[in-house]
Amino acid sequence: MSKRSKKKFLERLYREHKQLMYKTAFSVLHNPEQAEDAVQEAFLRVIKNYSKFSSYSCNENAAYLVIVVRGISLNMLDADKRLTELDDDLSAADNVVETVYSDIAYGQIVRNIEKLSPALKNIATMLWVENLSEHEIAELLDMNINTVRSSASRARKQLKKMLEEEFDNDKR
Amino acid sequence: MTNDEKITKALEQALYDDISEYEKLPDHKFSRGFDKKMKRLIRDELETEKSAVHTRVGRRLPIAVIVVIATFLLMGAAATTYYLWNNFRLQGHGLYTLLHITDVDDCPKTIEERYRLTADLSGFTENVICDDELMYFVEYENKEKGIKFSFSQNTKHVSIMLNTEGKEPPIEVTVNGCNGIYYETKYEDCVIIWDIGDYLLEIGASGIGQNELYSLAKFVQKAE
Repeated sequence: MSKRSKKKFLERLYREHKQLMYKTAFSVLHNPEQAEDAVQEAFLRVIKNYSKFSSYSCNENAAYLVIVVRGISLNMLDADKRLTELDDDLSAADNVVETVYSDIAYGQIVRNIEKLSPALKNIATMLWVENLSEHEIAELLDMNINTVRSSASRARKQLKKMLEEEFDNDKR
Repeated sequence: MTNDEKITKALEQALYDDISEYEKLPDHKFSRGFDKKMKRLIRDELETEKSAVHTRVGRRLPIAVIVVIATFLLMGAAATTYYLWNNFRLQGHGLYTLLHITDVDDCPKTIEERYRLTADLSGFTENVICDDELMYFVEYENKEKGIKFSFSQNTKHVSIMLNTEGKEPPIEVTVNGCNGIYYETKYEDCVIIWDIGDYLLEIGASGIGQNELYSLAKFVQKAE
């Protein structure tokens, strides 16, 4: 893509999605100035990865921009409480749910995903829905990669724990 | 559907539900000048995609300090030109050696396929110094063990300045079956650079020896 085409593409992307990005940021930050800052920051980060958009549909672009600006807003909101400790038990991360249960109702999963903290849910979405790598997420959200890894691990563990509790409750 | 697939689907559904909720919020009137500022940011970001000159952050580390496309720096003193492998052309300039790869017409001018170090680097902190169309450069450090090394991927349409002041000139080596060079910097760091066809790959290190460099090179893979 030529520089001119890239510029037009990015400007159109901004025009089409700026309101949604702002509304996403505002729903987290509840502060108009901070929300605008988050939109600006998110868009800047996204420009560096603009090649992702060329094959995305409009809805996919919107989804991508939302999770990036949401991640940035959550970081702005909770800068002091970022997950910094590295989870020792990362070996329990992959396929946690699959190895414990053979079949879980979709409704149970939906219910428990809603209980995840916004930050963990956002990281999980970036990893498992948008299929971003940990490096890409760390770059987009300006996070330490170990923090991204520990967030992903925590999301899996929390989900597992919640499903276990529900399973145990059902048995009684 | 597996449980993991259900989780992915549930996350996706949650995302679109959230988007629907966000869209219900009233439109925002952006502050004055915000749109202009965003246009300027887009323009500035695209302007920084320079293809002519590319500078690597100066580091004590073994890797070449400056990458120059097309024009060699003239330092006044006569340069000694010599060839190692067929396409590795080196010019010794006293304080440094300039590496230039010949016959690169069929090679990509920008990085189109990424290569990364896939070794187990537990205990190492990672710092990506540069990641753009011309160069990827990352540093790793294990302070406890006193080991520091870096990995980089470059297009072949560049000239690389090798920090060889006071040291022997680079020698021919084979890395993973590819033509390469080995040299040591004035800081006693070891460096290997090898040609994988479309790109140049480079590993440099302090605190480990030449054999360990070759071992590390085996872990360089094309990133998915």
